[in-house]
Amino acid sequence: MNIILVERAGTSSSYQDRGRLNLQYIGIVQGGCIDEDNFLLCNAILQNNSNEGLIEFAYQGPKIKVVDGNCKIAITGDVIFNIIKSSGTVINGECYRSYNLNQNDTLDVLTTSNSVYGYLGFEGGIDLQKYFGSVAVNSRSNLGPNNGKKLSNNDKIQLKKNIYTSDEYILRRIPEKNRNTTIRVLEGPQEEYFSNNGLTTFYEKSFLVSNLTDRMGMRLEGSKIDLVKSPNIKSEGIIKGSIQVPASGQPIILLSDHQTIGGYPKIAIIASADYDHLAQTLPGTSLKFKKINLREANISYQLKIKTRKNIIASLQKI
Amino acid sequence: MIKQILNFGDQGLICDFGDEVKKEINLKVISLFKIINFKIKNNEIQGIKNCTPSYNKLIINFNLEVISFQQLSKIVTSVQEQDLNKILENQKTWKIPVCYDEEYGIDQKRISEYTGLSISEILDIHQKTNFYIYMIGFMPGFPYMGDLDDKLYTPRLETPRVEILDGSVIIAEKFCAIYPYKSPGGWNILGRTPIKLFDQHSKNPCLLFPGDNVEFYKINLEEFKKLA
Repeated sequence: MNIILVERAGTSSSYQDRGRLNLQYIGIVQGGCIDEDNFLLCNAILQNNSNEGLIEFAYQGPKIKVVDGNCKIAITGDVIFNIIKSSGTVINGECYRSYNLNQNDTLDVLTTSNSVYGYLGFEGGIDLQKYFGSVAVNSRSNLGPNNGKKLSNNDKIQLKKNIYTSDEYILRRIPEKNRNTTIRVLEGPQEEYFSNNGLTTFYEKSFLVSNLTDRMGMRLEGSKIDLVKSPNIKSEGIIKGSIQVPASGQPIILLSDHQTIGGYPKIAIIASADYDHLAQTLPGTSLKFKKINLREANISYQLKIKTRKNIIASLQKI
Repeated sequence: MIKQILNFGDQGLICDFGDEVKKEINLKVISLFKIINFKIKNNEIQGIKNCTPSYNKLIINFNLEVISFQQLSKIVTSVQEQDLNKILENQKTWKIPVCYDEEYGIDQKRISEYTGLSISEILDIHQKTNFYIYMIGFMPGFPYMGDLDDKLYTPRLETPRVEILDGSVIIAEKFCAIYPYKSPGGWNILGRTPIKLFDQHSKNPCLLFPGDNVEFYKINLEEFKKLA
């Protein structure tokens, strides 16, 4: 049997897939991987089912040791990692390719670089129980496998089965580094709750990504956004990427593990094409928002999907 | 009927039923929710990620790779008014036990001071009210119920508590709710139920459903501990 020991869990590592659908009416959010592109690329390299569960980590990732058996791994994102072979040889890891690990080899995911999230996948997948059709962990609601908790030190990762093949694969094309700090958004459903000054502030001033940012939401700091109506609306369903503004005038962007219903007015919502990039933005980064219309948003999203498909098509045996 | 259909970003659609918070309007929202779900199950619509009913809106989150806003709008507008008016089936009335002892009902004095009613009057009104579940959300299994008798109207706490026990039965303004999990919160705590509202290991993980009704009855601390 393949058994992998988590020697160090890392800052915030959890099992994720593409989440749970059509359960928001009982308070269960879709959740799942934050950066869909990097999630899908990781499974593509390993030739897994596209929705196979893997480990999402933030900043410092896990350090794992193969206790028993062999496995093939891949890491996607902008990640610095080492593979320490049982012989003691250290390999500086490259993202977007697979590596074979043998018994007593160690993988040390040191840190993400200029980004927050990275993905670690295993060929064939991790043996995890699904809850509501998904292995995504939502640690705030204790939902999902591993008792709904993030990875901890000394956890054991059990792979589904030993389908180890010695071939290694690489993506010849990799995602371009996106350093754009202007994020595209669409008009929010409660624009009328904001004064003209408030809207001008939002679209013309810069906002700093604060440290109070996690899988649930990203808090921004900047000039106060002026509301003209009461800062409460009748609570209504939330979609990820919604930008709500409470009475403080400081916007909060709701990310993948958002609450399902919310009562603050939403000034805008992130264009889907820019969601992954936004969620990867480090605290301390200064962002600006640019309004686009539905047609432009659709075109930009189609371009993102097409680019991803082209990258996946570049997979080759090494 | 649906007052307007709007896009919510590039993968969202809002069906707006107007501004009022009323059971009659919410029942139409839930009817539309059920009709859309039926179409999903029958494969008449594909690419729906979520449908979230709330007081006066149904918000649909769709997958732009599969369906467009225009296509989905057409499907939603084709739903007939008469279908929304059909009486909901399987609407249940749940009887939920509550321990109102001091140990759990920590805000009863505050509610009493605010409303001018005695604690026994407050508990009596609470148990005589047939609550309607407008929606479930915020966190898994959390029911937003109304309408609380005007006489019990009490605002939220100015400073929310850092932790409220799971099962706490809470009121604020015209609403009543139950916390399925330990959580921070600013509502007034009236008592605690031993009933688990949400359990991911259970066959029916979420006890309540939007559109159901709830009535509360009193149990003592001993009974609470037996049921917990």
